[in-house]
Amino acid sequence: MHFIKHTRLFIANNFKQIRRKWLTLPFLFVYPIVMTALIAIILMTFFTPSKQDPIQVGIVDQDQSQETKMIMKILIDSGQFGELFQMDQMTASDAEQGLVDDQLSATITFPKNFTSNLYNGVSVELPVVGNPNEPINSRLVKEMVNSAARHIGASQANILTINYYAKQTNMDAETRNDMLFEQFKDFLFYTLSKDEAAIEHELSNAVTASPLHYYVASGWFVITTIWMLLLYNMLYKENTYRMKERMKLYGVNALQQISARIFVTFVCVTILSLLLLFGLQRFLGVPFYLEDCARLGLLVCLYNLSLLVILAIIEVLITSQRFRLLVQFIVAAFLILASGAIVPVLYFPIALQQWLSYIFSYEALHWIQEILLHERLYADYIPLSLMLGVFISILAAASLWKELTQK
Amino acid sequence: MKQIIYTRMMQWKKQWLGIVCWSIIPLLIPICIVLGTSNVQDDAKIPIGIVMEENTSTANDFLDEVKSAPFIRVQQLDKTAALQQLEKHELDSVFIILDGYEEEIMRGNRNQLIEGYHSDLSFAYTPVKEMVVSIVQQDAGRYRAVKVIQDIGERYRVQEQWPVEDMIRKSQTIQKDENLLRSSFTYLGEADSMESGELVSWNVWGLWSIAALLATFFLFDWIIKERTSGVGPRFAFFRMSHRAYLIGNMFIYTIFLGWMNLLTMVVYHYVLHEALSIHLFIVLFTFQLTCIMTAFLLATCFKNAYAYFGLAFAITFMIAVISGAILPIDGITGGLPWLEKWNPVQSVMNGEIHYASFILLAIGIAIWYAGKERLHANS
Repeated sequence: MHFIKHTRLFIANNFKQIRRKWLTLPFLFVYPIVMTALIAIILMTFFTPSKQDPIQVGIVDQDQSQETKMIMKILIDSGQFGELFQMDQMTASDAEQGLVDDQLSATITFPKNFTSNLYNGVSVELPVVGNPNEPINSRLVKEMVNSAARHIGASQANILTINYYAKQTNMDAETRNDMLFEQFKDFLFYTLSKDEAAIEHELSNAVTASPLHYYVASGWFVITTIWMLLLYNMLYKENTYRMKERMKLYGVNALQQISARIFVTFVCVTILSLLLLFGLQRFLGVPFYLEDCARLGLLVCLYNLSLLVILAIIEVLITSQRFRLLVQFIVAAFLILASGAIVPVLYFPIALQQWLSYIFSYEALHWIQEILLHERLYADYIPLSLMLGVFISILAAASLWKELTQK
Repeated sequence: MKQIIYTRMMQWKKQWLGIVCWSIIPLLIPICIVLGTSNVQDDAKIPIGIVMEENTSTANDFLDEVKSAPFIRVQQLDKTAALQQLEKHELDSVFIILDGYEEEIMRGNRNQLIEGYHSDLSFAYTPVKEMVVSIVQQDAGRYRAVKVIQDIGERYRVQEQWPVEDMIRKSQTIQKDENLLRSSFTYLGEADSMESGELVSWNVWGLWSIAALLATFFLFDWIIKERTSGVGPRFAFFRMSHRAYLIGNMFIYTIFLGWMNLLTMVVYHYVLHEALSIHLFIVLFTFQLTCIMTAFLLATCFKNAYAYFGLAFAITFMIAVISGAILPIDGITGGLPWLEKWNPVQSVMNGEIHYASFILLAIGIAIWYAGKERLHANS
């Protein structure tokens, strides 16, 4: 009874505290939204390279053989790499100047004796020089050359095999060389049309499971998490030693204050995050049922409470303010990462994936996504509830232990 | 100055744990991140599904070859299950080896032998497809060569029969042994090529500079604490002004953190194989000075340490996001060159000495020092 009375007192006090800080509150709630949107924009611009300006690549031909001339022509004229790369042949000094002036993203050089070395089975190196100011474009060029080199290497092995057997016949050298050049051309075009090997299909997921929906749900999840971290810590107030002593005489303990803060943060953030969620749902045009609303609400409540209790446990265990904040931040970041909000969990190492179902943020986001994106009509609340129960017990035990050991 | 050092040492004697912690943390965090992610990345694999419509030796060789690729995890299942899993995004992509694969390959034909399925959430489809196609291409190419050789044999009436397996093996050994065509990658102005097979490569100094910014903020909480804990009003009676005291202490911290920068450089040189140079030290130290001055000016505005820590976090997080140390940011800075110019973290990552905010902050400190002293005896 005492516990509830005191807690109520602190809850009222916390609400007053929030009202007094009305100026910082908008900042507190807008900051995570702005940051999440910023991160989303950065990632989007990274993953969708601008189609208007292709990557400028300079090619230098130091070999000047029949074969390299043909490669040049194909690289420059054909639409093989048309959309992404724009290739131009130039001299070595122009190419270097182009890199310095930021005109080029990378240069590829066909070294002297490129062709004859290839025919004779001597290993050849294709140097790619990247522009350090454009690391991502440079890497793309490098990947392209790598892939091309792999194909050419395989073709060349075949040509050398043909050469090996042709040498055993009474074919004269000139005919053999001509034949090899023919084969070179054949294999080159063969390589260029490699994409015909596969018939490609794009399978559309359920309409509501597009990347946009996926990342809107993730973004909402991240925002909710950060809100709780911020509001919970904003309500924190370091009591002086004398104040603590006085409160102890009234039978007040830390757990009551913590419960009050958990309650206040929980109420504020849950209301706001559900509003945000339903707003986003409207915006995306996802069908919407009353039962879903109840399911989502319950999941959000369970997740929010679990996270707050975890933050409280950290607060009880770590007395240094700075260190506590760092640990809370790291734990929140870990929970966000493990939930699959940033990188979908299927790309995680299999060893980690087995442990994910023990992490409440993964469970929560998983079911929220199932309901929101895959239109599931069911969610399993038991694991989340169990974990919440365990966290509450740990919090109670830790706080009690702290109270007893303190002088 | 001597007295300041003396009092500071007295303070440190009590707070040594916090000081040591927060000066070591920026050194440790990047090491943890770099080594941690490289461990995870070694195990992180792309899950793909393969459906075998025929069970011939060529098709099985193909499957084995795909399985041996280091960056994917292959699941063999039937078509409906595979597509279902893809739809639920439990697989990144699905490849189907169509019926008649072996027959077509042996004919040297490689068109439309496999079917690839991907969804709009398949992030890794392109590289995986590239690899799968290259394997098909390779197999088909060998049989193509076989056909050419057989033609030659016929035309020149070679008496002995060349067995097909020999030709295939010959081509395989040539490809394997001679490693005919390699590509090397260097950045302009760099001597040796850095070959990293990892998807994410961290800029160690970018990570360090973010951790150092946060730690510097946290180390400067003494400005707030020593003002609130009843010491403040007493300064009015000292020979030294409060500001001179703060500046003197900042100087001590600067020297201390400068030594830490040096230590960081040496440790990273041995643990992460980073280069050592005087230029680098100057870059790091100017960055450290920028952090110190920012933390200093910010801390003098605060009375509540917890709020200061919170804001420190918010600022650090924002700089981390817009600096490109954590997220790839080239797409944005291309349009906003000033962002790169004014961001000290960016300068550290580029190995440049940062002047812009450094000078601005120094002017800020000068103005602050010249301003009116607020702590009077009667306040």
